[in-house]
Amino acid sequence: MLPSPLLEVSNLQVSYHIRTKSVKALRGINFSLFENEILAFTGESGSGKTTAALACCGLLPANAHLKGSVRFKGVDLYSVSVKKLHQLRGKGIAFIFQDPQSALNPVLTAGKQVAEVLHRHRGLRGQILMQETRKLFRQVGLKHSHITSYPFALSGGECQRIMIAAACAGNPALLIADEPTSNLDLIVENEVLALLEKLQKGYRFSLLLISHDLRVIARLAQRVAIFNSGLIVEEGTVEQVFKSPRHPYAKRLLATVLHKGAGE
Amino acid sequence: MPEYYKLKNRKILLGSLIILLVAIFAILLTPLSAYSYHEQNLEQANMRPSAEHWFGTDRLGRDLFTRVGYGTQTSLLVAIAAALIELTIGTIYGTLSGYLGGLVDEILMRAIDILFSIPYLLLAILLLVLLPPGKGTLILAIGFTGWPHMARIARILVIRLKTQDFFLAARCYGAGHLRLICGHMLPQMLKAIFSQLTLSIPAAIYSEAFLSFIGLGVPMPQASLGSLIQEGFTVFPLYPYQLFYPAFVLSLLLLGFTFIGDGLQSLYSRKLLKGEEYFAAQPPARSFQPTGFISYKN
Repeated sequence: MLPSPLLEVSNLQVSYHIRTKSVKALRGINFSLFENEILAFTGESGSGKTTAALACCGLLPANAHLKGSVRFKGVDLYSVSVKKLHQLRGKGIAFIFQDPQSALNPVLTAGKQVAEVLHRHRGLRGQILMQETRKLFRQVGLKHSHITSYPFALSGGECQRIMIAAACAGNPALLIADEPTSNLDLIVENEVLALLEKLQKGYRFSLLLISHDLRVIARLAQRVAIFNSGLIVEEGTVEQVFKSPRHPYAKRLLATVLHKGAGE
Repeated sequence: MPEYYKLKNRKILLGSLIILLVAIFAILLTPLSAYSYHEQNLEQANMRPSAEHWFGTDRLGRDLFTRVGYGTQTSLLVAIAAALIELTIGTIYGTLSGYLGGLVDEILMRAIDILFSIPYLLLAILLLVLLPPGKGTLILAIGFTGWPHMARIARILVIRLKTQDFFLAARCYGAGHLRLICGHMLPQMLKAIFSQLTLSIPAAIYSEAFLSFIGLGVPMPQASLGSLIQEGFTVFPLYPYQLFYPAFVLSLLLLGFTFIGDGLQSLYSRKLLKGEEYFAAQPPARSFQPTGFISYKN
């Protein structure tokens, strides 16, 4: 194992306060993510995967209450100043959302949204900014004509590519992808996954991938963590977990795929 | 260009045409008149409309055509400036309230509730009594009492936008507060704000006319549509044309602006493009209803 992890989460507990009630979303999870590694989260809806991911970049909603610590490059995200946190986001940690069409601002062109991140984190301007934007669009497999398109005129796959371009614009050390392909059809999903794989090799960022789809995990991830009711019930390398699951929930989850004869 | 932008809506076209005609009359034709708005000629008092005086003259022999044109200028200036003040204060106040949320939002919104509970005209009259009479005072009085509506609309829009994914995404790429508000929220609010503006302008024209009618308008010999209507009203049984012309122009203005406002509203509620769904779901702006307006404000 590498000496110091890029992201280290220890005893993370998150509860949401809804009116007078308090709902525990995470009940003390521990995991670490090393540089240049792909870790996948899986588990049923409401098991706390997304909450864990949001907590990793300090984006929990206002009614969330958090205990434990999230350390990114040795810095506790919940004790640094707001200014530092703004700098960390985008440059250190980037996020890709489930529904790309609603995650893009509908009244800004695709190019502007990517350029905004470039401007913010690399201080680029004018001609150089345009060049870099074009370069990023090329990298994610979009045409130059897409730069001036608005999100509603683009397909889901194209929007997700724009999100990925915006995420890569800050040259992040950690990319969190929250079900990046669950709204896309299989062919587009395949393309987007190939793109993520390619970019991960190129930019050498760590990837935290959240997915329901075990095929996606088998294809991309090195390690996997299975969530159930706010806890990580099983964690290990993909081969180890997929071949010989130990926790009953993990066994049940993997059995669903094996029945269909898909996945490894 | 998509169909949406073609201004197919006849109401908007008709409204714009009416406003354009009135504006041409007030801004281009009035200065060409041979008379000035304050020039008295007692020998020609209360003349009926003729080739010499198109709209006739008033009891001091002033040319009514020039006075109505000049009054329209005053009314338009006061109304547009007041609506812009409403827009500025309301948008800033509402955006802050919605964006900050929590206790700040609660305090700011309760303050607006208190403002709403004070009769609007009372506040305007108080301001008019305290400050020297004139256009500036009218603008301030109408602008500073009309903004709470705009603030509420801006707040709702901000709260709606705040919970959307792209806002989270923008935060996630490290956008600062100012960038979030000005870069991501304002562009989406503009449509609703401007359609509200086209409804606050006729409301402001109406307030101005009402305040002038009860004698709190611009000082003599200046004229506004409200003060002209008031003058015409006193001699109505004898010289009805003196009431008719300013009242007619006032009605045209209100009709034109209300047409534009309504047209814009119905345009937004039409789902022509996928991206327009964002705007379609926005809250309907307060529509302008003169009768309800009077009873509410009194």
